[in-house]
Amino acid sequence: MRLPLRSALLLAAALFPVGEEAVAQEVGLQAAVRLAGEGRLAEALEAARGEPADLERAQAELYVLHHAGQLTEALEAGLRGLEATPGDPWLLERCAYVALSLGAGELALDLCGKLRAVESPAAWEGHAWMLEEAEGLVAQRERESTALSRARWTVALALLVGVGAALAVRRRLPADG
Amino acid sequence: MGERGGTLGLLTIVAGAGAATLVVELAAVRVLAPWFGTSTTVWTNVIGVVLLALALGYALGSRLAARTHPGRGLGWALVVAAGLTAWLPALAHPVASAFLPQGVTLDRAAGLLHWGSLAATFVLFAPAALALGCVGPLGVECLQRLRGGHAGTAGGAVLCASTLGSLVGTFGTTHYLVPAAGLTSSFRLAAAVLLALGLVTLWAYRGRRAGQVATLLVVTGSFFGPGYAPQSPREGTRLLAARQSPYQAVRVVEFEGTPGGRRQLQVNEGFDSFQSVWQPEPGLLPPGHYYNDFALPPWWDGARGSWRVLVLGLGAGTAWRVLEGALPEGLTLEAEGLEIDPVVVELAREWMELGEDTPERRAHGGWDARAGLRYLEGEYDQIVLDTYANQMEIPAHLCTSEFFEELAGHLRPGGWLTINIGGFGHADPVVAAVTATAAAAFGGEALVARVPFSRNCIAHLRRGAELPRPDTEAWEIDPAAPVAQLLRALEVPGALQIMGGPSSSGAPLLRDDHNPIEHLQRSSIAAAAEALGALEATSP
Repeated sequence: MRLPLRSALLLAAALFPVGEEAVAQEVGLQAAVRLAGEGRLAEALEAARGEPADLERAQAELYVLHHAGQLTEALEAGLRGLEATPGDPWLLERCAYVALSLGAGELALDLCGKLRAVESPAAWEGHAWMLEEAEGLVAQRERESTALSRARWTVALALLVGVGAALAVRRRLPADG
Repeated sequence: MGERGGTLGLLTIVAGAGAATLVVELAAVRVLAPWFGTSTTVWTNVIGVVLLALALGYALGSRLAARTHPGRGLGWALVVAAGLTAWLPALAHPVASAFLPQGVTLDRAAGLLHWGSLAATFVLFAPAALALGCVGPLGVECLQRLRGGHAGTAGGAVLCASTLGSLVGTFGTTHYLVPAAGLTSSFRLAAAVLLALGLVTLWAYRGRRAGQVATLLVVTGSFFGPGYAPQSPREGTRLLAARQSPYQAVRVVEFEGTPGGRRQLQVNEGFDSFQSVWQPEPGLLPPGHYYNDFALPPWWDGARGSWRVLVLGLGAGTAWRVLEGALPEGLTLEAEGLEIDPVVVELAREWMELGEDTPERRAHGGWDARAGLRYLEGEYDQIVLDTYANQMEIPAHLCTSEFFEELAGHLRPGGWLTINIGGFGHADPVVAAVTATAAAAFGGEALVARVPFSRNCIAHLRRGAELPRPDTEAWEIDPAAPVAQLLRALEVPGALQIMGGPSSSGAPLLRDDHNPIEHLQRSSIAAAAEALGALEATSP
């Protein structure tokens, strides 16, 4: 059985507790997850950034920054990780989730597509809602673009009609009194 | 009709048209507000379009005035204006929605607010204003033919009557019609007046009877059309109350499925924002609510006894409730608040447990923050500045160095100013400028915190005392404090910044004499949209 990364790490953190002093010097994904869970977010980020492996470092940074509510920075960390490991399902899923939170629909859609390609159908079933959300966001952006174009054209048309009407009044409505 | 009676009748007609013109213009902004707000941009668009339409109406009226029967032209102009005005409440929703789809977030709204409100104003209000514009020159012509004499005499009399009518329309709409009768009734009353004046004019000038009857039917039909229907609350929320105040459309909604019910007070809501939040228990709100950061200064300060707070932009009292439930043990809250909209205070008392005034809690409804500040006595431990208009705008007079100096004068030495600033990070132009200005006025620095999971920043300043900084003793608070977790999030690199005045930050100093805050707000939204676009472009 393959546990999702976060669950596995949280389980490991619960099974192998480490003293506070040791944690302060410890770096790596496991320490970052545990420290974030304890609310010690600055230390958690430090531990995350000290993780030597690229993938785990990106995972840890994303995890901690997301916990801290720094969504843009969390997404940037995740995307950096995906540059090095494009097919990592955990990063893809988390990045898609954060991108949705930020309203970055097209990015979320792209990430969902990649996630679907690397996940088993059973695993994807639990994430399919994100694809729907992303499609909804993209459709919303299209509606906004259409509305903006419609507004600009309406203003242009109204001005044209106004000018045309003024000229027509001048030409076709001569004084007859 | 005798000359004197005719003169009086004509001047009454143009006065009525003048009043109706201002009803349409002032109520136009209120009609658009649920979608586009009532910002200076929207006001400018409405005034600009109405002026353009009136100018075209004057041109058309001047040509019609030269025809054989200007009186009939005057009657028809009034009847047409009545019909177009009566339909406005029903047309508002479909037209405004066409230019601003539901679900737009604030950071995507910049272009839509400008162009959408301009387009909606053209479609909705230009035709009626054009018809009303014809009234002036036609009235002058009719008066001139009736009385003879100088054109200037007739023109002056008509202008005088029309302007006096406009004056009645201006004060009547803002202070009586819209708050008392609502938007639909205001437009229909204006239309009814125009229709009555138009029919009387047509009767007096022997207009064609069949045309009158047909027009009467059409216009009367428009009075029975659907009324004004602003945007409905979002899915998952239940409308508890809705009112039109002299300032805005206000409503209270409750979120379904939240334990005990969570409520929001919303004003002119076209976007994903709200003015106040209520939950059954006082204290911190769920993460992402900027109000929680208001509770940090009393913990940093270490005061004992009472904590005297003034909230400027009280809304429904969310800041009070958060502070009430999150103060250190042994510290009691003594609170005052200024809220410009009295209807907000009334709704808050009814639906959000604001409570009646007591010696310890006083909510002053109907007061502008800056004007009201001058009548408040004594010094405060903390002033919370949370004054927003139109969902996203800090009023220009409430973010200048002169105003911040006034605020400093109301704080005891070491007292705290806490400012909520809508913005997308420390580099955001609005955050940078407001913070730099406040820091300059306080003669020091500001501690600016990004609120996790939100697009708000909170700036803390002190009068004549050091601000707490991470890794210092002054920063640390009781780990069991409800706000302790907020500090942990602020310690993450990038969450907090100490910002100085304009000379160190490069941000502009906002002064009463020159305050480009509206320009900065537009830049803020545009920059956020650009940043999101850049992020999307980095897809691996």
